[in-house]
Amino acid sequence: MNSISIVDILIVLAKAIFVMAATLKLAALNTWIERKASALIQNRIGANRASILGFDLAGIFNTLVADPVKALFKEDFVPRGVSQFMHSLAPFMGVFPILISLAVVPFGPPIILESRTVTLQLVNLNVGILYVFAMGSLAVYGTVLAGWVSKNKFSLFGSLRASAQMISYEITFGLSIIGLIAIYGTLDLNEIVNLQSGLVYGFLPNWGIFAFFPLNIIAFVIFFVSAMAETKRAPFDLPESESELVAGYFTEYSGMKFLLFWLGEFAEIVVAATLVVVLFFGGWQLPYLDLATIQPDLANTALSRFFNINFGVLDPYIGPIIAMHVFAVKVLLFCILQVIIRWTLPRFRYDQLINLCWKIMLPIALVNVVVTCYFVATSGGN
Amino acid sequence: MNTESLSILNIFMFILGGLSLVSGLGVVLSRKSLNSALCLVATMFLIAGQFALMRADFIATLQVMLYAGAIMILFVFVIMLLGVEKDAEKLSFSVPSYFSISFVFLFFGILFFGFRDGIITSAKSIVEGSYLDQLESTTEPINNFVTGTSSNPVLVPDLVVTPKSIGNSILVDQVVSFQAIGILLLASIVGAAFLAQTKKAPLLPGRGLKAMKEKHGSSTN
Repeated sequence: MNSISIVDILIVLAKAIFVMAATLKLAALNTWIERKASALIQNRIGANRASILGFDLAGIFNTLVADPVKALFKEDFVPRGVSQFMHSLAPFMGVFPILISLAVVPFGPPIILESRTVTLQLVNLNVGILYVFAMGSLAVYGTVLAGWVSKNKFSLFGSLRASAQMISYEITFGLSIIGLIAIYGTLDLNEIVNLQSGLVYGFLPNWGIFAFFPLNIIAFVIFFVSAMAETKRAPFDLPESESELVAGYFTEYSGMKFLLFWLGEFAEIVVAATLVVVLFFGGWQLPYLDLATIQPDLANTALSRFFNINFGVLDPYIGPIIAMHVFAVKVLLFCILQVIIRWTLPRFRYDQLINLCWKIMLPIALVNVVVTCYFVATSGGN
Repeated sequence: MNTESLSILNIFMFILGGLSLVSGLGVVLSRKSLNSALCLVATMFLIAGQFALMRADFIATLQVMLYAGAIMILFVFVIMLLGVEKDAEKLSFSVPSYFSISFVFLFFGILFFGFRDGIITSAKSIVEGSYLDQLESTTEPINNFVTGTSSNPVLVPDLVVTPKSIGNSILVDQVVSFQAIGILLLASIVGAAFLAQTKKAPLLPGRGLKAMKEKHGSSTN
């Protein structure tokens, strides 16, 4: 394969659009989950006002149609004496790195056709997980810039809190997966997912969380807590604690710009859930069924014989399609878990938040790295 | 791919190179220090894109993570919290500035004439696209990178930089110089901490808490 044909370029474009759309759709769906789940948790009826022809579809019109339309028609307020360009740039700088950070995540086994192998991953970087972290570290600029250009003390305090929190928790975020990387010996997310197939002890799925049994559960807890802190939501929502700081770094934002910050927050939830699934819960792997080598014979099924249609052409797609659904379900479960935690726990105090990171989680993460590396070295791993 | 037509990689290389030049000029020319800092972030990001095009994923990612993500955020913090904006003056030329400008030109002149051959060959190879073509023709994964399709993803030739090869070269082959750089950095951190340390002002008579209380009490009475 020496030249790049137009089909290859179309495949890449399709994958790029798919990954972007999936992130955005999941983020949008999350807003609905958030409002409905909060209503259920607080024992009240959630968003149910907007309806089309009497159907409100459990409030989905409220969150996915009425709210964005309302935001679109709101006044785009810019404080006086503030650079219009910088004020508009901040939400985009906050959202853009998060939306492209899922480019390296594999969402299914490769589809093998006669002429080409299509990997279900947008870019196969050999530094996969580092790329996600790099994009995560860029997301700080959005909040910092938003607080700065608002010319508002509350905004500046919010963005200072946000950046201190994000930079602190990035350390535990990164340290918690070093053990996992030592176990798998690679940074490539595709390889990490491939290595999580099969079973351990005969019944447990061979997922990252069960590797070196109790150690990686600690790593998972630290990773998940850090990921939640990175999303800046309760119990870590100090940057926007409305009882002290009005709304934190987006106090001076309204309309679609505010909605962009909101979207970024929900996209961060999706990214956090995806990372947890890929690193600790086997990505698209389904336990007890190997989706990468599944060999269905749809041409000989009862359905195929009944309709007298040859479903055999679908054979190469069955494994990847099931895998993508498995992946989506896992990601959604972790999104819902984050929403439940957000509406269950009260907010930390700021000193508690920083103490939790530097005095509790960082030492545990460091010890975990040393112990895991010791076990990897003695077990003659990589 | 032959050199007659520009390959996709070359086109992207030119786009990224041009944009990074523009944002680099923005760093120097913009009046507000925050704008300069943000332009520098953009420059780092675009240079990382060029590294990624040359299949140096690891260096590209580190470029974003360390320079654009970590170091520049400290720059932005310093600008925001310490208010460098107050010290920003209008661009003025004086005798020392002429001296420093000529020194800069001298420095880059020496650099250019010292590495003339190397610069000309590398510029030629970039313009003619021979480096990227070499990369493209000798490596299968470069196609894998562009199209996401590959028949043999295991094949990784020497031109492609992997985290493993970098780890081997830093922590095995060059371990002494690596540790030496580490000691150098440690020394500079200790030095910076020493320089930044401010001596506490001695408690002179009449400036202590007691004196202040007495003064305060006397003024109210």
